[in-house]
Amino acid sequence: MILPSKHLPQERALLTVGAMLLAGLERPKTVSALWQEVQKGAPAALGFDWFVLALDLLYVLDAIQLRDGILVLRVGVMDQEA
Amino acid sequence: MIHTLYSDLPTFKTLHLQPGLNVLLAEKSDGATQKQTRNRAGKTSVVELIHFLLGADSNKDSLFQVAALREHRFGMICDIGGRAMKVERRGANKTNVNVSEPPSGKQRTLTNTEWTHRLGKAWFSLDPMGDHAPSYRALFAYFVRRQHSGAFSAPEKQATMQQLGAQQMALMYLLGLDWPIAGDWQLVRERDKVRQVLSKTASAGVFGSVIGKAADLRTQLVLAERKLKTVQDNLAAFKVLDEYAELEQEASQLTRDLNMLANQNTLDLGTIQDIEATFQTEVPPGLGDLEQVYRDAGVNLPPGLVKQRYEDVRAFHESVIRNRQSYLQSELAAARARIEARDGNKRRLDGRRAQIMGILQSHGALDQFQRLQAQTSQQAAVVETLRQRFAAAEKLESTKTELKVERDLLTLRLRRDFTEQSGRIDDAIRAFEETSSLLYESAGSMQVEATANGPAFKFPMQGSRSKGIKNMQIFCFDMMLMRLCRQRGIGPGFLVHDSHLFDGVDGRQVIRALRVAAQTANELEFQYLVTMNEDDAFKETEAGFDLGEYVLPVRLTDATEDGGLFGVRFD
Repeated sequence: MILPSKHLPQERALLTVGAMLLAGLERPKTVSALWQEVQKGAPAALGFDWFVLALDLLYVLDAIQLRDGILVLRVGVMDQEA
Repeated sequence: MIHTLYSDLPTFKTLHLQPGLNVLLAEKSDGATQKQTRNRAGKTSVVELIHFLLGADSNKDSLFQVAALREHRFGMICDIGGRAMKVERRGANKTNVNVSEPPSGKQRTLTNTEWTHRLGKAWFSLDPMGDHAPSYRALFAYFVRRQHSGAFSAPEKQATMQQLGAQQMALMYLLGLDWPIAGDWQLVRERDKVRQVLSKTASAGVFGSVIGKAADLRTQLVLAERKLKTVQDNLAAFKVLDEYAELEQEASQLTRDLNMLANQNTLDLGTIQDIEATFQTEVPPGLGDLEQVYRDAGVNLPPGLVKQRYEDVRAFHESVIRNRQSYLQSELAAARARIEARDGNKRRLDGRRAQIMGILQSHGALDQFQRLQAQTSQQAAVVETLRQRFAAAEKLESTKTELKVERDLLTLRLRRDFTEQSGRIDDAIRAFEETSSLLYESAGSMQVEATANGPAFKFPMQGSRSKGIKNMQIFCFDMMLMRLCRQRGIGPGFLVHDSHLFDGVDGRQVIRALRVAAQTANELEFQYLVTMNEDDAFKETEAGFDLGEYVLPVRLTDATEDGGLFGVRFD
């Protein structure tokens, strides 16, 4: 699920989706705001369940936090990647 | 001159007349009363016959419509325009006359109207004259006076019913005066008559309200005009327009607002439907999926990357889902609240709008305005009517002045004519007096005056109220007319007097009058036919004058059935 595989195209892989979500979270947003943005910009149809699982993965990796209903990037995430 | 009177009625007594005096006598039978005699013998019928043949109307009361006579042809030979003419007419064919020139002249049929035109032209040169000119019949009747028209009531009248204007015109014409003055006078008189009738009806009675007096109307007009001004001012100052426009504007703004609210509600209803659909389609992932992702992360990713415990991840997972759902719920509630708020607003605006419409409809501002308008036009109509009535009344009243001026001008014209023609008037007066002085010791006189009502002929004479003296005035007048007409070469050239002219006249005057007539007729070369009762004619004698010389051989009598003019009795 996380990585692309024989049965999972790359753009559906949670890591790919997660990366896209991270790009969308350059500023803190509510879940709904991010979801609406993603729905507009998504290359392929993205289900709500897949969106939530991608957020879960980012949380597992400690890339994001939910602070008072607002999704926020963890400090240094972008820096670490950079 | 009349030569012969005849008829195809076998019993008719043909009359052959001579120049000068002709006396047709009627014998009075012993047993008959005076009245019967006069009516039966046919003296007056001679006069009627001459009229019948010289253009008189023959209505159903006419002698020649009597059953015994109407089929018979009556005729006369008479000088017309210097030539002897034969004229015949029948009561049964009264519209035509047959005219011929004896002895061998061809007979022509003329209508009675054509015949009178011809006679008028021949005897009175009447041809080129217009409507308000003397008519042939009006002139001719002075020469053959008819008892039953009342021709023996006054010298200047040939009929009791003769209108003053016609009489003035005829006499001025016969005396050679400026007769159109009398014609114009008649026009003024007719206009004045109409004016009098109009102004009488205009000032009182049913028509009083139609026209009225100029003075009253002037006041009414001023009042009505002032009222109109007031109403017009009220109308001009009426403020209904502003108020009306304001309310109307507000009402249309309310309508626009209401439409906008309805539109917004539609949008929000769409949102609600969308959100409700979202609840159906957005299915959150199950915890199984989450566990698998968590496990995969530990397996597939490099070690040390999994930084959270599963419990924390699950808490995050659940709060994300909760967050989304609460967001959707709040969106839904907000949309519903907005709709509800708008509905409330709509109800309020709708109420206001209804109120405004109610005001516009029932407040009556418009009605009041329209009422003012109606009142204005009504009052304008009243003013216009009054103005017209005032003009009519003023015209009517000024006509009186105009007519007065015209009368004055005519009086001046008449006086001038009398001055210019004083010779002719003097001739007439002299002729009248000459005849009169031959009959009476104190001669009667004729006066011709220019009065405010046209030329007036007056005959002051002592005892002129007596029937006999009055009749002799007529005699004098007619002799005067004959003299003047002979001088001017007009007239029929004969004069006919019915025995009625001598009613009540003293015997001496009768015989003298006949002598004067014989002399005058001889002198002036005209024919004088007179019908008399035998006993009246020979009451007195006059030295040097034998009446018997002039008596016609034919004598009428009522003593026998066939003694009258027609020789038959009829009633």
